[in-house]
Amino acid sequence: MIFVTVGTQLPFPRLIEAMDEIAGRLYEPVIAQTYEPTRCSNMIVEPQMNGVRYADVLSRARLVVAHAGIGTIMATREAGIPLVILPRRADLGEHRNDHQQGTARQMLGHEGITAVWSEDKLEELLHHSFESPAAHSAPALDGLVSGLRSFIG
Amino acid sequence: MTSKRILAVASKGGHWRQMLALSGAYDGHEVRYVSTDPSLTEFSVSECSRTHWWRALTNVFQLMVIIRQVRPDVVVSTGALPGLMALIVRKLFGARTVWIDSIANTDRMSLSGRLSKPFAQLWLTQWPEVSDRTGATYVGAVL
Repeated sequence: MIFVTVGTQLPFPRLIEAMDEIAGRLYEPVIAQTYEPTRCSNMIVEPQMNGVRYADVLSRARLVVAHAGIGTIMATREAGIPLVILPRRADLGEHRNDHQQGTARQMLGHEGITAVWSEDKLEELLHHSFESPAAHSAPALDGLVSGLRSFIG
Repeated sequence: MTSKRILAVASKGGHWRQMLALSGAYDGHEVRYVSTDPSLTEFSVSECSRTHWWRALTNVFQLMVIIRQVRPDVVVSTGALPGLMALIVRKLFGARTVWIDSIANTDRMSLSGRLSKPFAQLWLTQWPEVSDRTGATYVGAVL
């Protein structure tokens, strides 16, 4: 199963429309969290999911296709599910600014994450098999946690 | 080590996930969480952003009630605007405060992050480049 998610803050019709079209040519179910009620032909739509439902769908996904949101990136990494991200564009009204472009650039080279800059690039990717990101140590997180810890005292 | 009371404030979504990743920093302390999704935490406040900035005023009243009850020694926020409001409210009563700008801000501090500077003793970015540019401290990142 492929899980498409656009996060909790804003709709992302460019991703949803592209994935709905692609889903019609795939031989596996696609579940989409769309933020707003959306009519789709080929995907199972749930506009909003609570945390429990989100974790349940995520755990059963082969692959997640999403906006370049930090919540999505952290959730898929924790669950060990490969992720394809299409960053939102401010010039298309998809977010207040282009910070997701920066996030996507910074995620290049992260294991288990593939970034695309156009929805036209999604379909060929989805036919590939993806390797799950392995659980690994996070030295940057250790630094942040110990910095916070020593401030608290 | 004396056990401290910590209030951790984060909006739902990515801010909340980043806050949860930091929970190891609170071992031995008493931490209470505030978010904008009532299903997530003990305390919740209204969602607000720059497009609904007036709700920040509602946040101030909600946070005053929570802070009066919890009396935290340290307030930590990973954003967004409700977290900034928590830092401001608590700073006025003398607690120590930490702002951790979201890792989503790869090029500069967020608007709430910039506004939080005078109210945060520990003012953190999660990117070394942003630290060089803004003077925010970098000690690590959630990813």
